[in-house]
Amino acid sequence: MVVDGLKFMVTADPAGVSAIAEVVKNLNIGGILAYVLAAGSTGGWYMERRGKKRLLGEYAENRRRLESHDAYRGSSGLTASGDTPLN
Amino acid sequence: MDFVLIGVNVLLLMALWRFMLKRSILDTHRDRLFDLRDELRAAFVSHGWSLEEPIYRRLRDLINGYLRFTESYSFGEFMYLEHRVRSNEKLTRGLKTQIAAKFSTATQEQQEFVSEFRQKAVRAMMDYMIVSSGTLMVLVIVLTPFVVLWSIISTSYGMLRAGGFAIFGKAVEVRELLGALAQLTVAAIANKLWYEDFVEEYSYRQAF
Repeated sequence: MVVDGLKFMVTADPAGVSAIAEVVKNLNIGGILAYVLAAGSTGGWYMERRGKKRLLGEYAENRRRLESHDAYRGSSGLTASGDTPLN
Repeated sequence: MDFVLIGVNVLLLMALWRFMLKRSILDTHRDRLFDLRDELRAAFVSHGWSLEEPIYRRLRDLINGYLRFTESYSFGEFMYLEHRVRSNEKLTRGLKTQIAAKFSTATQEQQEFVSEFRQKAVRAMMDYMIVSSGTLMVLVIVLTPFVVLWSIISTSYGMLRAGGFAIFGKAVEVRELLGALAQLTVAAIANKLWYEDFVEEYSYRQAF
């Protein structure tokens, strides 16, 4: 079916096919793909990080409960998700 | 047009380093420190040592200090301070004695644990300083293949000399192996650049 379609395009307007080829050539597909890959990786990184931070918060809460009866439980002063406080 | 694109890409790379990689590096090293703090408590409980002992408090405070100020451990500043302190012998000796007294314990077993624990914590901080420094990170990336090659050659030679070919039959997780070798590179750089014990002395500058 695809081949039939291509045959039709070539026989109908060969100049059009050359024009499309020129556009595709100038598109720099490799560069576009690299940006798409980078954007996808950034999105993946952000989602994984958000999930990790959520789990760290839960883990900190469990740790706090476990150590609640300890004689000494000095804190690092970080936030529940393990980040540096803003102030 | 090309120059504009190069500029945009350089800016993107800088943002990637500053807002993604450095944050992940910080998180990874803080994870190590949190694990160490948990290990500390677990070791005290399993050995039957009291959590009320001053040494427990000191070690926990040490780790908490590392955790709180991990971000401000900078390679350049550390090198400068290390150089300045090392040039003053009296100050170096004073700091060493003060810190040694602070972490001395009553029993030999506990003393060994404390020394090992402090060393692990110092290692984590040294690794952080190297990996979070852009220049040294590039050095690690460049040197890792050589360390990998050297390790493969020396391990194979050792195995062959021992008369066995176990290395070929042993299943080794490639990812773990590469991670360990990268750590080895970081440790090699750290050993060449500075003294381990100064990390603790440096950490006290945060408190003053």
